[in-house]
Amino acid sequence: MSTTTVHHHHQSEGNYSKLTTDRVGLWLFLLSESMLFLGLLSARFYLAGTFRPPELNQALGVGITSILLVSSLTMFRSEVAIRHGDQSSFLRHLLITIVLSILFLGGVAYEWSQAFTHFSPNTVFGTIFFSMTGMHALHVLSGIFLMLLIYRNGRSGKYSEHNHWSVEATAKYWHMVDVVWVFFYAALYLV
Amino acid sequence: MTTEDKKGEKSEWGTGWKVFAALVVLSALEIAVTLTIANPLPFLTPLVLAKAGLIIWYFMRLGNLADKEATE
Repeated sequence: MSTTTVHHHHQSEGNYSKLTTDRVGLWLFLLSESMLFLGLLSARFYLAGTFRPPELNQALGVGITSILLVSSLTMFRSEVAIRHGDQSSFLRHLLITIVLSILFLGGVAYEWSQAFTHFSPNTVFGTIFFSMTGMHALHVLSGIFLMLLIYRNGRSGKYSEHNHWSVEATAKYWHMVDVVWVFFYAALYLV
Repeated sequence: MTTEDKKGEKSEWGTGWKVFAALVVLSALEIAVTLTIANPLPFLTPLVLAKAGLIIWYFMRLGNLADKEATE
């Protein structure tokens, strides 16, 4: 390889900042995650069509969906705050998001306890319902873990307006969890 | 935190509220469609896609993929 070729090679690498590479990597990860959820969504319609048991707790469905939507707003607020160097608002809204996400998980746990008595996981709809909500709840749990991690780091002043990639990545992950629920809620409770 | 930072934060926060309001309206429409139409799937699909699109574009900021505003 000649000196000119090496120089051009390094120059083209320099066109992409580390942050851009990180962002593209995260989006690719989220895209690969969405394939898993898309598989579950298509299984719902393939196996059970648009069947929906009347025992589904609609009020609880609306309740936990509302909680998750509000948590996306507070997570957005938290990220906006750190992007502008507002430490107290960043931590306050992150903490509210964590509380809301725990409430959501509590709601799903209650829904599961009710659902077990109405439709067994051995039935077609039961299999779909527990697989979809279970896989989603697992992602909510990992989101809570990530948020607790950045809350701890945030309290020790690790993030600033110039240095907050972890917060941005966690926020994007949390919003992805919300997007998945937008589809799952409609597929399980509304069709 | 400078005055410019505060203004920028307030402006973005305003956008967040507008997106949230749109999400609430779309969610209410979803429920209305389910309650009034026997086979709601074709009507629910565009509403669900619109909600997902709003979250992905505004909250996840897909359009800002190449921004160079933060590093770690």
